[in-house]
Amino acid sequence: MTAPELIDAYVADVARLLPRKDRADVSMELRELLRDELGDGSADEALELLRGFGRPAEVAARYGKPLTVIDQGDTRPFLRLSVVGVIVIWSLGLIEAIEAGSGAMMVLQVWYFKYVLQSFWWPGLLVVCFGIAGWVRRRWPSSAAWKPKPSRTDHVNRAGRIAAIVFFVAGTLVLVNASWLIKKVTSAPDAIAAFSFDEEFLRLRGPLVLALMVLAIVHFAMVTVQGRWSPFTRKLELVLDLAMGAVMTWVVFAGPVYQSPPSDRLVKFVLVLTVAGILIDLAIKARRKYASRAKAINLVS
Amino acid sequence: MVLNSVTRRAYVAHSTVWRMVSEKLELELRRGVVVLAVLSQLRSYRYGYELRQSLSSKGLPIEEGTLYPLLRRLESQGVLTSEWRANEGSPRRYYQLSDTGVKLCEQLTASWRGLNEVMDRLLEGDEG
Repeated sequence: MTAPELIDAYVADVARLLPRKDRADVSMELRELLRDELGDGSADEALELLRGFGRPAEVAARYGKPLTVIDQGDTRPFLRLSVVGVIVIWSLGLIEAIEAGSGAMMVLQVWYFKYVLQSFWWPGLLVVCFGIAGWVRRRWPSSAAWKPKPSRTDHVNRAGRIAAIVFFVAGTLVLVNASWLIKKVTSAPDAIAAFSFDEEFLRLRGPLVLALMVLAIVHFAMVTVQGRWSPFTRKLELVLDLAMGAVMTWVVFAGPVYQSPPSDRLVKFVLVLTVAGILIDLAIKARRKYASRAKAINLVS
Repeated sequence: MVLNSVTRRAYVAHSTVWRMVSEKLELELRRGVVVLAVLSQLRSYRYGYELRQSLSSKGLPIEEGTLYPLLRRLESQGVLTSEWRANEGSPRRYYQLSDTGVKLCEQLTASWRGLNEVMDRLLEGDEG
């Protein structure tokens, strides 16, 4: 290609990426400017000049109004949430695939096609959410103004916690008596089986889970009555969290919870999510405690 | 011998990183003055290539890939006005400060002078 042809091809590539209304005008100007820059230069010199000018996409972006989908300040949280979310989906998918499939190849196939390929909805959803959040911040800057977080105290909101206790007690009663309640509404055997516990589960694992749930409610009520956290209730919470996490993990792997396989799969999925939540909560608390202890040591020294 | 080679490589890697950092910081420093430099030269009509040559001859070379799109952006912001002219040969787009651009140029010049004074004081203080 000759030098003018190279310039024409480059300008055409830039123009293609510009808004339609600006294309002709910018092309004409850019072509003349590049010709001026090159003078009587050869094709090799033209290529060097054009490469130095930048990739057509970059040049087109410089001509236009910069468009940002995810704000720079949001890039790191976006990446972190994307990676963590995809890893969680892949891990849960792998557990599901191991339970459903037989043979390593079959498990991998199910996992790849059903979970890995379909997991990218999550980063896509995050792009939309972060994009909307960024647009709202630019449109209404006051909405993005920094606000101090309420200071952490040991006091609790009694009204909210009383409502939560009512909800927890009702939820536990419904969970324990689900099949009895269903029998009152319908006589369909499938519906009854869907909420009937496995006999083996009811011997040891069920009562243990129920005992822990009752203890958790009692602990919750204790803090509510006292109106604030104390070192004892904090420690008790930690012990209960650890016990609950361990027992739930055991329940997931020890055998069926419900007689109906779909209900069993669903409840185990919920249990895995709950254990993950407990572990994250414990990690945050440990980090907070370590940070406050390090701060206290720094103040003393 | 091995230690020498490792030390030399570490030295080369360190100086490469240092050069990249210093180039980036210098670029950022220059980027801040590009707009004012351009505005200062557009009190009368000029076209892109002519403006770049003028800035370069006065000691402020600006990459063509930065300058030409900048002129269009300033025009779309109402700071510059432009018109096509064909004096000798091909038509060229000429730019000049608009009324808003003249005011902006005065404002930025005052800011630049204030900033320059502060920087001089700071840098002299460091030397003293």
